[in-house]
Amino acid sequence: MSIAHHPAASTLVEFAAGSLGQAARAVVATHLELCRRCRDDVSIAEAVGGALLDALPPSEMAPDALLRALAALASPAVEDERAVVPPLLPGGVAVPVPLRPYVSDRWRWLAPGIRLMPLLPVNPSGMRLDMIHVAPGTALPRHGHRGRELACVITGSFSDATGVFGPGDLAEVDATREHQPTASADGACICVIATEGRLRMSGLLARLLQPLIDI
Amino acid sequence: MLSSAALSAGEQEAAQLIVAVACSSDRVAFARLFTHFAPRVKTYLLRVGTTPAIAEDLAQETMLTVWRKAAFFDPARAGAAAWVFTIARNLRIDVLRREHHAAALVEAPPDPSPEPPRADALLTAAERERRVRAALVCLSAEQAEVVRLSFFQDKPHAEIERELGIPLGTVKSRLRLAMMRLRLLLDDDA
Repeated sequence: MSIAHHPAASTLVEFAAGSLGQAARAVVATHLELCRRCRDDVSIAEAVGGALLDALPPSEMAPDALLRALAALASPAVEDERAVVPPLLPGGVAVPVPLRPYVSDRWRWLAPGIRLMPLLPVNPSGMRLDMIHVAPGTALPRHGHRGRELACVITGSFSDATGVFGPGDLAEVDATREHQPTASADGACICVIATEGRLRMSGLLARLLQPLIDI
Repeated sequence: MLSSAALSAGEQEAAQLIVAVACSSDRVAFARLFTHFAPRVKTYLLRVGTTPAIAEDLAQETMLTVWRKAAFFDPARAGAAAWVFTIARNLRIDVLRREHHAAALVEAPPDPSPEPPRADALLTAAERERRVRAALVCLSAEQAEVVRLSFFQDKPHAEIERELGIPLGTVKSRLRLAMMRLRLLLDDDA
């Protein structure tokens, strides 16, 4: 299935500029792994960042800055700590590389057919990051948002009023909309979701779940 | 916004200097890269809200990363300034992250194995950066302004909304139009 839903251009510019918070950044990075078109757009925006950097007036560095740098060249590089490859997700799917630093094997039961793996607590950008596993045909409680939500499908698919979202598709929802995503009947759906603010739940099931979910 | 045509010669030179660092650990080439980029990286970091002491340290760290990772610079894929920009940006993201979380995390996908750059790749890098500069000049003043502010504010879009007194939706649509324009101007590589 080809990718039909992409981040807004302004979101890709935020990604390239480095101003997207950690949680949203991880979701967009998951999409970029699978989306050549958006990777190209990020490259263009990074080239813009380079041109703007090059045109900036220089700041004064410490008088010994260059000497210190030259002296430090001999010191060995600190090796990147590569995250250990985590176990496969349910259904035998590999964890996308951008999410590997955050995953655990702790799935929390939320409701029949719905499990959640917290990846990052609410961070300074005001967003938290979770992975959600929804059984085939299961509907999430109808909800709205107090802020922004970015979700990327890792495996399976879900649909809401705006369309069908398959692997790599990114859904960007703002504070104005209420929706009820439903996993497709033909397989479980796993998504990574960055959420800003608490969800506004509607409906009895949702009100029962609210204290349990606390997102 | 971007003026000097002389920069494009400098740009090609910067790519050559990075390759010299990669191929022969050329300290003179490194010193020239440092003299050009470190003070500009520091300005960038100050503009996005980094304190002066940390901006100085991160500018140093950016240049040391240029030295260590020079072999991964692929002039066929990115210009020199764009590459240096992404290094500075990533180091700043790591610092912000460490301030709030204990763990240092690696988010970037593994670097591809370094290969010696093709001879024509250096020209590609310089040509791409020249075209990006030319394309930026083609944006409307309004588009160029939101693009510039996107890179040089800490919380860009909300701040642009306030600073320019335009709604967030307008900020986003100007960025969308700017990206469409840039893609059109830069995509016809063939």
